[in-house]
Amino acid sequence: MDVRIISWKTKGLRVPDWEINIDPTNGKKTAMIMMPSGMGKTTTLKLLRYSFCDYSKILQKKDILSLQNLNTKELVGEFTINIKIDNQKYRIKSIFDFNKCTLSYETTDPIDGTNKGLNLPDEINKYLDQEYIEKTFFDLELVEKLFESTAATDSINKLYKLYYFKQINNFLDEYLVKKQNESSSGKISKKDLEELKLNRDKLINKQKQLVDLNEKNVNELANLKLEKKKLDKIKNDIENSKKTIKEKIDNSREKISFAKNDLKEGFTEFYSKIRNPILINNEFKKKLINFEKNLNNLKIPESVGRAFFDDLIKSKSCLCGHEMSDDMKENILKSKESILSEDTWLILSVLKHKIRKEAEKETLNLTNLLANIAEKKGKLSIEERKGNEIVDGIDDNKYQEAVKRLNKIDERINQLDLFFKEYYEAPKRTDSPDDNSIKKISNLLEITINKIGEATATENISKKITIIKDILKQTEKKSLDFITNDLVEKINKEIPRVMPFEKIFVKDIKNRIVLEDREEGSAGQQARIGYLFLIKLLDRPNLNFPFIVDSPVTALDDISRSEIATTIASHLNNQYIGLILPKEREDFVDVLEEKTNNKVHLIVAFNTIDKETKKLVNLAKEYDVIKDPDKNYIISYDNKDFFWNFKTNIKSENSNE
Amino acid sequence: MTIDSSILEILKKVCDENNVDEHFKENVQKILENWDTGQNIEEEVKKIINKSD
Repeated sequence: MDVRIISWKTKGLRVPDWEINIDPTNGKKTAMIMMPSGMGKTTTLKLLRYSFCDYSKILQKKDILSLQNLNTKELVGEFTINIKIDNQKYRIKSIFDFNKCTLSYETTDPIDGTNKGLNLPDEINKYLDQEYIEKTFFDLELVEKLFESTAATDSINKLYKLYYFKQINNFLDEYLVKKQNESSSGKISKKDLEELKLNRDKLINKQKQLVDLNEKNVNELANLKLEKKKLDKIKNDIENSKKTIKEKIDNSREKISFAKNDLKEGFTEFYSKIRNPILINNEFKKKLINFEKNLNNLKIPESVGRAFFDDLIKSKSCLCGHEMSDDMKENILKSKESILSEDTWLILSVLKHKIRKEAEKETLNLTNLLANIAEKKGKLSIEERKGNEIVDGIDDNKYQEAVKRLNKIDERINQLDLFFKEYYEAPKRTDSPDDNSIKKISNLLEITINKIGEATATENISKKITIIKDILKQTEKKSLDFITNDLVEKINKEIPRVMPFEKIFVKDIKNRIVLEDREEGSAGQQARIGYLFLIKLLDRPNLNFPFIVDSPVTALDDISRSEIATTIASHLNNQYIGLILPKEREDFVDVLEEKTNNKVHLIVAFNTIDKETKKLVNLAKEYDVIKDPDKNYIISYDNKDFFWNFKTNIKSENSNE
Repeated sequence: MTIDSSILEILKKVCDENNVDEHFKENVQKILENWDTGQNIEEEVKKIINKSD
């Protein structure tokens, strides 16, 4: 059976009241729906999950309330999805009553029309349970977990219903207890029998507690190991950066010293130039030349002597050209005895020589000189800032926090190791119900049950139940081995096709996916193997069901993105819907387009209620995507220019950021 | 029935390996099938227990 999603429509929910159309019948089996962060990607994924499997008894009050539109506070929300099953149209409406916190369904099918309830064909219904849907409509985090924790085996257990075996085992234990409680043959005293039963009940409780604790501890250990791995990387990165930090600081100091010297030389050059005033300003230069000319005219300093000053007093103007006033004449008379000493004579000679020599040179360009100084000063500032950044980069707090947490993790892992050691300790004669070994407790329980069996003449029941449990236990183990081996074989068969240049094979699936010849693969390699694992795990005879992925490549590098796109385009037959952020476009959607000959729906969708979205509306207008005034959202279909130029961090025109 | 048919096949094999009789085999299989479809399994358990060896 082939299932394809055609469109969906929302009303009164925490996503705009819009309809998104991804009809794959035109050959576009892949749809990229791009939404800005916080505009309902994850909510959409949840609503799609709820449409294919009856979640009315699974969802809690808070799950339902989390879907309510907080702006309109409508009391009923609806999510309607149109699908095609083997080309027959079906419509499923999920109705959320926010007052009663309930979910109900309506299904329209081509034969019976519209009826209450979620009524998909039995052929499909038998596969679509919560586990299947949550693996088929997933986010990338799930793929990452397949390599880190117990997620891979958990997924197999859930999808292949291997957890049934434990449930049946518990039922059989309870059945035996019930039968033993019902019968009494009088072989031992009533008091002794009651004591045995009390012991049995205590041991059953203890056994249950230990199993639960073990399960919790297994999960905790997996998570701690994952956290430890991440923290070790942070710690090592900081340590490596510290090793090079001294080198970086020395290098920076050298550069700062060089820039300081350069600036100093610049200032020296500047001062040496401005010490020659004749070249500072053209007007000043002219006046000095004039001064030298007048000295020449008056034959100064050659004509020094009293007569010179007598002549000067008689003249109409001074050496510098000023008109000779009475005050000036009086001053010359007063000072003529002392003015032209030997020193003054010498100075005037030098001055004349200097003016004559410098007059031939060009006047200095002070603006350029100052700009040169500023440039050198700027270079020094840059080097000083870089130096500060190196020092700031030594993130001691982060390092200390990582070390502190790692110590705590190691301590906890040691505690857990002790728990597991004790948990699997073999039975001894001296065992007590207070022991924490599952083997010891189970052994004590078996002995007690046998004693009660003898006392109540229920040995036959006990014996038969033990056989059933044993048969089921063996079946569970063999089934897990069979499914795991089958999956590994199927995945490895696909590897040469999906990863022709790397050929990284899966060795085993023991809690997590274990790779051949290496501890771990790159993010992209693991993501592709993870996709293969899910494709093969979800493969059902005669069922082709859509894959919907929230943020499919958000944490992946460019190569990994491109590899995932190639896998989807070339090796996935199912309809594929990606709910992506703008930052996920590059190296992913372009590769998908290329590999599918542009058979990809390119959709941009966002609400226009928030104030910040005004910029997005204006941006849309630039690409001929016009907002309908009656609607509070914009959806653009296959407008490539808009899809590729859509951005959420638009700076306003007046912004200086 | 949602449980994979391969698991039922494995169950049959395990029964054979453990030399249980056809009656046991049939009923233990029924236990798994009924559990899968949400039906009571007590009857099947009783049938195994009450069958004389």
